[in-house]
Amino acid sequence: MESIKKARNRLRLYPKLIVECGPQATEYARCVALRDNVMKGDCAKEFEAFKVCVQEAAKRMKTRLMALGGRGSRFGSTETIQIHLFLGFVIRFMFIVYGEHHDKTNVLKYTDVDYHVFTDAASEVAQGGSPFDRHTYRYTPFLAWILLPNVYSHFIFGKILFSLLDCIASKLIYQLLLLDGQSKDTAVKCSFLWLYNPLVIGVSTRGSAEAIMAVLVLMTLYFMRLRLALLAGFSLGISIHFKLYPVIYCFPLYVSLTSHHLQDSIWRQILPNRSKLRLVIGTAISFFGLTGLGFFMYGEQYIEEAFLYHLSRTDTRHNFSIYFYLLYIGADYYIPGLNLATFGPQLLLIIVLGFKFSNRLDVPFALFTQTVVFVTFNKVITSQYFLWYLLLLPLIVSRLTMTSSKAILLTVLWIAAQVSWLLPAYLLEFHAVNAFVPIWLESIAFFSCNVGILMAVISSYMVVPTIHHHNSRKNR
Amino acid sequence: MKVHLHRSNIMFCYYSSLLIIASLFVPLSQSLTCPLVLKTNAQVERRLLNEGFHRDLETAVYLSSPEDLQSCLVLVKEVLPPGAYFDPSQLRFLKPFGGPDFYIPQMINVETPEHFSPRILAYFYVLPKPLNHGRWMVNVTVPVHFRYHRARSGTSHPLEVGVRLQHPAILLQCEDVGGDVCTPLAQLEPCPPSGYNQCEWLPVHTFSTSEAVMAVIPVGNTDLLDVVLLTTTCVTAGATLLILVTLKKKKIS
Repeated sequence: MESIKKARNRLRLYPKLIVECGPQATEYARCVALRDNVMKGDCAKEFEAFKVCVQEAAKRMKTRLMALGGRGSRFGSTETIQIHLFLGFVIRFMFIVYGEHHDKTNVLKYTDVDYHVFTDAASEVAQGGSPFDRHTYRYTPFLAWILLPNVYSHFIFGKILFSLLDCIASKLIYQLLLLDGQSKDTAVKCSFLWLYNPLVIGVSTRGSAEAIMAVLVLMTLYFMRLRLALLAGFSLGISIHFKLYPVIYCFPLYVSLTSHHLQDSIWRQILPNRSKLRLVIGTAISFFGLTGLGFFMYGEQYIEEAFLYHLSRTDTRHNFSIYFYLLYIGADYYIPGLNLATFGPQLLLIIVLGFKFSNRLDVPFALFTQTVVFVTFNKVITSQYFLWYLLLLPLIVSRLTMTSSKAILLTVLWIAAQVSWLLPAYLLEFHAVNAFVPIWLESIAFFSCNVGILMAVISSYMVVPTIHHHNSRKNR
Repeated sequence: MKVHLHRSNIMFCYYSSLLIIASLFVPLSQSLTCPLVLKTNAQVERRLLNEGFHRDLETAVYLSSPEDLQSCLVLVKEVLPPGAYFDPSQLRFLKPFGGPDFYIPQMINVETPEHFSPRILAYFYVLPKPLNHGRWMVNVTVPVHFRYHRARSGTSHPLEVGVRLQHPAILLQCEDVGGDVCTPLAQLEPCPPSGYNQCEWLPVHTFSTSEAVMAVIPVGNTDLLDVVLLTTTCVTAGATLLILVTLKKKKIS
């Protein structure tokens, strides 16, 4: 926390530094703004002048630059992050080994039921069949393919793969934060939010495939940050192919590719340009390519199980969603406008948030808030969905101007709201107590808690001056 | 919907009564020649352990027979009502821990509520343990789950429904006893241990001193629909507005 505070103080001085170097900054900004698609080295001369000026100003003010600092300062951190990635993997491996032992000796299983479904589907594929021959397999067929070693070599292969992907995700978080101009120290600490998150460790080592999604979404952001729109599109398309929800990210990612000097016009933001087209083409190729390949190989059964099932699924059993009780007791009634009332707020907020934070440097924040809204306002919420936004939290946490006590308070509130939901749910499920109304009230409390946290996060989010980020990018 | 349900019930009763009548006629010709079927009695006693939606169904079958049942395998044939289900993957995990061999011919959707779910057939294969002279015992305990039920009005109904689990049918398959005289009485049921083919099984007379076990499942109250609808939509609409206001206040440089 200390280093975050230091970093924040340093960041506060940035505007002053930039003011000191007004002429050089203007020169550099003009150079960048004039180009529609800035490439590395385009404005090297202007940047060099600006950099030298800022460094000298920093010396005068006795502060240290973060992103502008020499390359040498990053080498030490590479080791630190690697040690932590290794440690994170070892912890996960220990959980996997424990899980194997636990499952052999206990009736209640550590391994997730879905993992058995994946493995069964993989063995169907191994026998030359379709993964959809395994009842309840409702995922992309390529997941079963990826997990073929579960059948050929060892059952735990998939869990090890997911753990490795968790580490890759943490490394991507680290890299993204460095690109964002954070210090190595802050970047390492923020990546812990994923690497050492007990929820994440549990999910991956029990065999849920969320780590694949994590890497795909972070890859999208990483390529976006490097302005490799086509590759970003590829990752985004694959992630939508794997799970539908990242489709909500299309909008802010697309708009974020608008050139800066055109951002004040909504029309310009919607109109395509070359990098936008690259993003769209990349997304379309990978999404339709993979989905088409799946359809070609496994036919309508694939579309039915992997897409239509999820769209038409109506599971009215109790869950964290605020809509659960309404959908349960209202199932037999025709309520006009119910779809609009449940779907409308979710859609509206996702669009508004995507638009509001569509500046390319704020895109991670747009994605984070969109995901929070998507999950919080969804008709069904399970705890696995929380990972979808927890993944993006490390990317934005260093930009929040929030006291650590407030951050702790909000975290405790979030966990407490879930735990207190569990009590009536437990009484209903295991003691046949008619606790539907208490569960509903708890779901309202949890909903309000999430909305409150979202509002606090939005208010405390720090939009960093655009100019600073060009510098950090240049100095990669 | 209701009419349809009634009709299928009537058809079910009709067919099962036909079957019963047919099975009454067969033994008349062979009557005293197959003591395994005609002189064996199965007393079924069962309990539902725990509370709530996830429970353990304990079934004890006491067989008394003039024949030696040492070489026999017992088939416990369950028909679960739409409000209950067995989870096949859970039963599979239980096998290494002493769970029974079983066969469930249907795919089971564990998510659907009672009114969208079918009756479930399940076959459990168990070896009898000798008790004392002429008596054997079979004991099976399996986890059973209950489904969500349609919500109803709390003013005219109690806010819970009972799901009754009828006693199972008991059938035998023996190596040494029975013989050709029993063949005409045999009925075809899935083979042990996992039901790939059809085998011949001999039905035995089943009775019980207790009624069918019943689980009580809480249901939602549709009287609250107005309140819940209003509150839920107000809360979500209010939250949407609050978030929009927060966004409006937020200055983006």
